[in-house]
Amino acid sequence: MIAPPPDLAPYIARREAVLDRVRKLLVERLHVDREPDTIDPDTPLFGTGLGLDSVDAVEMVVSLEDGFGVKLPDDALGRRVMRTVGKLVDLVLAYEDAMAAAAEAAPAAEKVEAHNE
Amino acid sequence: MSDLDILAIRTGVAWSTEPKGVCLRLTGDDAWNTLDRVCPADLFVRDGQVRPSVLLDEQARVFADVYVGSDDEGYLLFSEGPTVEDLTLHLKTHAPAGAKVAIEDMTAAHDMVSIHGPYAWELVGELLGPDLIGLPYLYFYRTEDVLCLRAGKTGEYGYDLLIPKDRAPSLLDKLEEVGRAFDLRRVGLAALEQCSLENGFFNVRREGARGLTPIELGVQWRVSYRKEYVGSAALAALRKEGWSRRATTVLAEHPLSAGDAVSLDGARIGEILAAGESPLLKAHVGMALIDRPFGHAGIDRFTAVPAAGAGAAPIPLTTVSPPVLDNRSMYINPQRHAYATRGRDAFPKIA
Repeated sequence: MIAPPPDLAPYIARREAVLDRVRKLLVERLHVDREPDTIDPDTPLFGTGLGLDSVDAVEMVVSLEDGFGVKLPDDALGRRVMRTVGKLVDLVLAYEDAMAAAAEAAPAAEKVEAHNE
Repeated sequence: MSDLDILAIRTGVAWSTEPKGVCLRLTGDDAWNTLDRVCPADLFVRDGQVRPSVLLDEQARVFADVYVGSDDEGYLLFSEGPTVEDLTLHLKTHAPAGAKVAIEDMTAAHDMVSIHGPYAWELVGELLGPDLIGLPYLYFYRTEDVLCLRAGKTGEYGYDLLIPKDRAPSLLDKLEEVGRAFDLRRVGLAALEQCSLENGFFNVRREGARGLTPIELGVQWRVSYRKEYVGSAALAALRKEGWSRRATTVLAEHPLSAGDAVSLDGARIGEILAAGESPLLKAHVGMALIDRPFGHAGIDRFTAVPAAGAGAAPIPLTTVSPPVLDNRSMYINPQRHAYATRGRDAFPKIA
């Protein structure tokens, strides 16, 4: 078994940390009756899998916003991401990346504005 | 397999006599106890409901993909993987001593037909009656003589019909007749398995034939750690150690084959277990068994090294969370949509 190279290690650590938080959310907020370590990334959320229902879907939207700040902008995106645990992790990571990029862009934009004054 | 087969499953309706599954019916005072000893899932199911699970050997290796259903005075065991004889022997071997249980092979007297696609519900309603349209996922319903299980492993609406052999010819005639309005297409196992792979469903004939555990296959949701069953001790021990390798979906622009090595900077970190071309995605989809800590989606640093053809160029891979496409069935509402008027409906792109 080899160790992750330096360019990959931070992503794996970050992904595992978000996966753990999503598992915790499922157990604590949505009352999934499983030990977190037994919730595999590809586990379906609804129907089979964790057996969540439409009421849970609403709670999931609220929990994602409370726990991660993630807002689902439209119904279609919600349907696409609320398929598996791994899809939720993808969503959170993409949201965090977008926020980081926006934060990075903001001071640069301020600088340009200041320069133009 | 034609691209049209996949298109029928993904956008219309398709039917098949594949996969060749087994259905056993267990009756008697110890029917539940017998199933409970071999089935890793908690078996609390309502009448007419099925629970998905797997069957394990003593080393916790998966050898069957099953649904267990409660059926009036008995239990149904729908299975893919083992033969009727092997499955029956497994049940008898692990039944409680002196168990009062009768095991009937339903497959001997029935033909099995499966129907798939975003409009499968509509065709099944016309074929067997409107009661079937509202059949919930993972429930079955008996008409006068046909048992219809709503399950499916393609990511689209899916139904398995258990038809008495003497009734099968007339029902298949009716299927052909009703199917004309749906451009119904007969498909084979390869098309069903490709769709299954695209959706990340476990396939007992491919990765499931490799002697892997539910932890490695990522199907722990199908097992319980709170009961004893065949393989439970070995599985609990493996869980304590934590995962060492995990089935992970990959995408590539070039063909992949089962047996190809998965490599990171020249070091082998896994193997392709199953692969196929996705005509809708215009990409190659694979399921790879990848070592810890690399079995995660969102990584584009791995390559597949073809097992056949020495010197072949490594193929770049990207690990992803399945499903790799947006199933049309997610957006179909039987109260609003119909196959005949599908051209007027706007749906998100599948790929």
